Amino acid sequence: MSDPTPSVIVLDPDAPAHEIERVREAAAAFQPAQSIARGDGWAALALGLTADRELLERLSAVRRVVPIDAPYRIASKKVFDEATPVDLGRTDAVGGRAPIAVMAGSRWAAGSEVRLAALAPLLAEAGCGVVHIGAPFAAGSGGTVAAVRRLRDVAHEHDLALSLEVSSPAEIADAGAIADLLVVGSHNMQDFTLLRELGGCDLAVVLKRGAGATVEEFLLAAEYVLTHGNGRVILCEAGIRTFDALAKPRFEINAIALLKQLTHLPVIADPSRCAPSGAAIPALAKGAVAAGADGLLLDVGTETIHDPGGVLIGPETLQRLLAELRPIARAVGRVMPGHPGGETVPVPTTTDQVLRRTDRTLAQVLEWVIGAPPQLDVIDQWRIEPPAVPSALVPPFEPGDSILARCTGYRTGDVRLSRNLAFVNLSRIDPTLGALLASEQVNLGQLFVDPRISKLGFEFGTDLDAGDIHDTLARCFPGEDLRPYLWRRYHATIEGRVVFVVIESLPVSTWGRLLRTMAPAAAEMT
Amino acid sequence: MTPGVLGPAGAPPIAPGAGVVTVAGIGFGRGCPVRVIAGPCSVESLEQFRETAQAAKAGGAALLRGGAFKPRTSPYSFQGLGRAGLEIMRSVGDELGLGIVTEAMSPDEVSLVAEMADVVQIGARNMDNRALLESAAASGRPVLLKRGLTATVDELLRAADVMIAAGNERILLCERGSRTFEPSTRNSLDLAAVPEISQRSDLPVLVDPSHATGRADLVTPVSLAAIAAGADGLLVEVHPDPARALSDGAQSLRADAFGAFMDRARAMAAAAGRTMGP
Repeated sequence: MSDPTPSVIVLDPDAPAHEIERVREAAAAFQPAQSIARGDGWAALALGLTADRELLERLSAVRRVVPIDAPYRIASKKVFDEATPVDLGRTDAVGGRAPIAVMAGSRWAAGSEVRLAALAPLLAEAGCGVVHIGAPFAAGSGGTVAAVRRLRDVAHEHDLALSLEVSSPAEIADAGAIADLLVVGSHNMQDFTLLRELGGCDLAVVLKRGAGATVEEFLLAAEYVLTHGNGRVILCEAGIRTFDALAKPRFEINAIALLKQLTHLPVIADPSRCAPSGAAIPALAKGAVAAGADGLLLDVGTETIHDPGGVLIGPETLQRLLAELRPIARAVGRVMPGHPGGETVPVPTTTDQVLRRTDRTLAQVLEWVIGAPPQLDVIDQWRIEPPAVPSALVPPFEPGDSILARCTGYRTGDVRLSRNLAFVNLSRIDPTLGALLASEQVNLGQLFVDPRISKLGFEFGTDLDAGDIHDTLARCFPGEDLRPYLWRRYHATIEGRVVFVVIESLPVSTWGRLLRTMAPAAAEMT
Repeated sequence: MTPGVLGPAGAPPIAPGAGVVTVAGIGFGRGCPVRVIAGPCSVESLEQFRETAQAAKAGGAALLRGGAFKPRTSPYSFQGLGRAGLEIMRSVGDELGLGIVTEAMSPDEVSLVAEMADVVQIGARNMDNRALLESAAASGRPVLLKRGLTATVDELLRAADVMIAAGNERILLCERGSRTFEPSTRNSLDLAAVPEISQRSDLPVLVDPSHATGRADLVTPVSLAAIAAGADGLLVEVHPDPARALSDGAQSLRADAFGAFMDRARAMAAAAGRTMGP
C-alpha cells in the first residue's frame, strides 16, 4: 500500500547490481526520482509516495523506507540521523565526525601557479586539506587545461586536494578531469542544468548558498544533485542579502545551526566575502565551528588584505586561527586536522561509548566530551588493613594486602559526571608513590596516562547487574540518587603486578542530556 | 560634537571609559567574564518568575531579565503585567541577590523602571526613539540598548551616541538579529556585528540568541557561536514551561535545561580562552 507522503528508500550501498535493479523495478510504482544517490557508505532513492514498506523491505538491498514530510527528501536528517561524511580521497573526509575541514581559497589569475607554489607548503603546514582555485575555465578567465593541471600538481605535491569552481555545464568536463572536488558558486545555486549535470559526476560538490536563497531552497538545490545520482554534496553558507544594500553579505550563523538540524550532509562556512574587516574573519570562523560547521573555506593570500572581493588572510593569521580553533572544535566534540587521534578516536555519542573507550582514562574522555578538564572531588578515603580486605578484591589482591580505598567523583560545575572507587594495593607499590596517592598529591587519572601502567580485565554493566558494586557505591555516596547508571570495573598493573582495582559509574540521565546537547541526533540512551 | 563611541569605520575606537560597564556590582565588557542575563520574556506571575529566576541563578546567570511592559506586535497579545510585574521582579531579584533588566517603552515609564530595575532596556522597536533614549540616559541607570530590526551597526552606535551625549556612558549594546527573507528563523543574527562593534566602540556587546533565532533548538549552537566570536555576554529567554508561555514560548529554553546550557556555554568560554561568571 502507498500513501501520498513522499519517502526515501535507504539502500545497502554494497548490494550487487541485480539486487539494486530489483529495488528499482519494485519502486517504479511509487514515483521514483531519476537516479539512486550514492554517497560515501550510503545509497538512497527518493520516491514521490510512501512505498509499500513491507514489500520493499523484503528485498535484500533495502535497509529501510523512510516517510519524509519535508520538501527536500534525501538530504533530510530523517533519512540518516548520523551526519554522513564526504570522502575527499587525498585528504580527510568532510562532515560526520571527521576533523574540521579547512579549505584555502586562492583566487584564479594568470600566474596563479607561482603564487600557489609559494603558498602551498604554508597551507599544508597550517592544516589545510584543500586549496580552492576559482573558476579558471569560466568564460573570460583564460585558464588552460595545461596551466590548471600544473596547479593541481603543485597542490598534490603538498597533499592538498584541488578544488575548482564550475559556473556552467560546459566547464564540468575539463574541471572534473583535473580537480578533486567541484564548487558551485552562490550565483549558480539555482542553475538547475548545472546541478543535474553534477549529479552525474563522481566528484564531491560544494554547493554555495545563493545570496537570496532560503535554507529550504538551498536544500532543494542540493536535492537536484542528489536525485541525479551524486550523494557527495557539501553545503556551504556564504552570506545572504539583507535590507542593508551597502553592507557585506550577512554571514548567516543561524543557517549553519539550522542546517545541522535539518540535514545529514556536511555544512561548511565561507565568511571571506561577509567580513566587514579582516579582524572579523577569525571571529566568524570560530563562530561557525562553535555552531557546528564541518569545515571552513577561507580566502588566503600572501598577506592579509581587504579588497572589494572580500578579505584574504595571510598564512600567519591562518595558522594562528587554526590553533585557536582547536579547543573550540573540541568543545563541540570535534577536532581540527592533524589533531593526534583525530581520525582514530571518535567522540562518544552514547554513555556506553564513554565507558567503553578503554584506550583513554575517564578524565581524558570526559575532557574530550565537555571540552575542559573535569573537576575531581575526593569524597572519602580510607585504609583497609588485613583481615578486613573484602573478598570482592581477592583476587586480584591477596588477603594480607594493605589497601588504600578512595571514593571520588568527576564533575563540571554542579553536574556530577561520574562516581568512582579506586583501590590501591599499598603492599605492591613504591612507598613514595603510596604516600603521594594517600596525601592526594597525585590522582589516578594523572598516573594512568603513564605508558608503564596497563589496564586490563574490563567488565561493563548497568546498575541492574551491578551486584556488590551497587552496594559499595551506595555506601560510598550516601544520600545520592545513583540509578540508573552504567559501570565499568577494571584493574591496572605496573610491570605486570596488579596494583589498582577501579570501579567507575556514569549517571545515565546526566550523560544522556550531555550527549544529546552535544550531538543531538547521534546520541541515544543506552 | 560630544565625544562618543562612533568613529569612522576603521578608525580607532573613541573610548567612553575603560570598556567596562558595571551593573549591580557585576562588570560587563573588556577583561570581564562572559555574562549571561536570563529570564522569561514576560513576567507572568510570582511563581513563574521565581521558578525561572532560581534556575537562572543555579545555572550561573549574572542578571535576571523579564518583561513587564511588553512591545507586542499585535494589540491583542498579552501586554505585560506593568507595575505589578516590576514589583515581582524586584522582590525575586532581592530575594536571590540578582540585578534586574527590564524594558521601558516610553519616556513616561522610564522613571518607574529605573526605580525598580538595575538596568533599563530599550527594545529593538525603540532603538530610534530619541526621546526614550534621552530619558533612559537621564535616569542614571545603565541602559541595555538593542539593535533595531532593520538597523545598521552605524545606526546602533549613533543611538548609543545620543545617550552618551546626554551624559550616560553605561551602555550595553545588544545584537539580536534582523529581519531577512528567511522564513525558518524569526530573525537573522549578524555575527559579524560582534567583532565590528568591538572594533569601533568600547561598549560591551551582548548577543540575544533567543530573538535572533526564534527557535529554542537553535539557541545553544548560536550562543556558542556568539561566545566563540567574542561576545561579552548573552541575553537568553528561559521559561519553566515554554509551551504555556504567554509570549515567545518557541524561543525559550526550559528552566530545567538551563543548567546544561550553561555547562556548554562555560566549556565554550574556556575553549575561547575566557571565563564565564555569574
